[in-house]
Amino acid sequence: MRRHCRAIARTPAHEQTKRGREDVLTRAIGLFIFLAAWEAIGRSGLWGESFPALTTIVQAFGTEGQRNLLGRSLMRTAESAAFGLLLGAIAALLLAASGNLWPRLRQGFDSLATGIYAIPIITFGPVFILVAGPDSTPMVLSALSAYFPIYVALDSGLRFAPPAQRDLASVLGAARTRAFVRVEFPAALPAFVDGLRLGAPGAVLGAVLGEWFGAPRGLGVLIISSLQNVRIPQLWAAALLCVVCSLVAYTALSMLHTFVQRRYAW
Amino acid sequence: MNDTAGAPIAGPRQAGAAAYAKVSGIGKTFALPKKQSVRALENINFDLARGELVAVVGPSGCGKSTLLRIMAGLETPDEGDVRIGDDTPAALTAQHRLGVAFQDHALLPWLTVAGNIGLPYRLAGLNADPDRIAKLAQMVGLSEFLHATPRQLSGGMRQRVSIARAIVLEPALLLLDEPFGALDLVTRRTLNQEMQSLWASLGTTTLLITHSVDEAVQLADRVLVMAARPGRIHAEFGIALPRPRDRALTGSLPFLNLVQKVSASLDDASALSGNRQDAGA
Repeated sequence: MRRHCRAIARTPAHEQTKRGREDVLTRAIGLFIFLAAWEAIGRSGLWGESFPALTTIVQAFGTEGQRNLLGRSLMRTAESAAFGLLLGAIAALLLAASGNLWPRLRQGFDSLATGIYAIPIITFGPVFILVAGPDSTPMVLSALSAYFPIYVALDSGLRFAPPAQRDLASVLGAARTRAFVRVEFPAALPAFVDGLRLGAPGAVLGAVLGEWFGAPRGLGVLIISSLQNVRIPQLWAAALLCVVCSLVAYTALSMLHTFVQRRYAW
Repeated sequence: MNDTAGAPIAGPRQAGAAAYAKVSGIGKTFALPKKQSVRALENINFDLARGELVAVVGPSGCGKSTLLRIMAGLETPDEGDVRIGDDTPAALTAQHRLGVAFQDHALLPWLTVAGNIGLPYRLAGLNADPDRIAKLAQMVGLSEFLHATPRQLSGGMRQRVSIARAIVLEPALLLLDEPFGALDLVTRRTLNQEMQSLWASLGTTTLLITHSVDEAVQLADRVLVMAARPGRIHAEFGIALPRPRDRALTGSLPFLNLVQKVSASLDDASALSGNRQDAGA
């Protein structure tokens, strides 16, 4: 019998490597164009003194003291954003899982998720300063900024899972929670990680916003302080670090998505 | 219409034996938009003896898959009922005693072959039996692929895994919804040959939905021909050919005569369905 069996060859390794190199090259070209345009606009003074050239911003990292200040702020914001993303992911998972396990309540969970996300996030700031304290507010606002894309992606992944897989679990007599854990959630895992990827920049912005409401440190605090003291290069250095933080998270989660997609999807 | 041909049935199935699974007066109507509806099944009656393999053929849209879904407990009939032994499909499902294989193999890509075959254990909350999984993998010719993932397998190999998974918990009723429908002709013929010996050794009561008359006649103890609009049993053929039905037998005159008779009946059913559609238009 086995002689009739033929293992299907996957995409050849050298083609995958070639495609990977092309992706890196395309990303590098895009980044180069972005940075070159920034430098040109800054140097030309087209957008005034409030928009310095990149080389001027880099000078903000010139002294050790400035580097330490920016580094500590970055670490604090990254920490808040990472925990915020995790918290947002847990909230999104609970909402989507509840809607999946109790389909009659799905529309209710959907409206709840959309309604909360539609409230301007800045209005939550004073509330969480009182409820969670200034240290935790960046994390909470980060979670509020991140959960919605994760929820939408996961809910979509669960709804549009292959019907045959759902039928199979049903015919085999699996309890709903067991079918969710063993079949439905793993099948929706690529969509979930896709949501995490989309939620990561939002998590960073939410953390920065949360830091404006009296957090002791972080890039948000540094941005406010730079604005008040008209330290334009430092302001943009902090902003640049926000971008770097988002890009690193996005890229790391994109790599995770590629891995999960290969393992969990056809 | 009833018909039989060839020598007495060999193997574990005994035609004419007492009914084990019984489908009685099944009817099903689906609602359509704008308050319209379509009658999918009308007064379907048939039974399966213990260990019997019954194939259902019919034109597209005749309700074959709806019938299978009702027997699997995935759809509820508007009229009639299904009994497997003393149980309803829902009760059998709750006892993890129904096996099913779809045209879409529905393998989980993140599990290995062994993991996929053993999935029913996990879904039932039972401890997997590695010996049984290994034995079934051997029976379907995949013992060397236990640690491979489905993505590394060909279409025929995936369907073998799907069938092994369907029978791992020794189901009381096995439902096969065109399991070889997406395969090329050569692979399909090979699998038909191999699956005969598998069923002969297991003796599982089986309902096979298929588009292929050849496949139905080769594998089944009885063939039901369905007509469409509404879906109903148009004819029934007993297949009293000796087993195993190897390539020599599938080239023999009795086999070809039976295929011709079933095909003619299928043509009648299709024409009848077409006429009803014309009349309704």
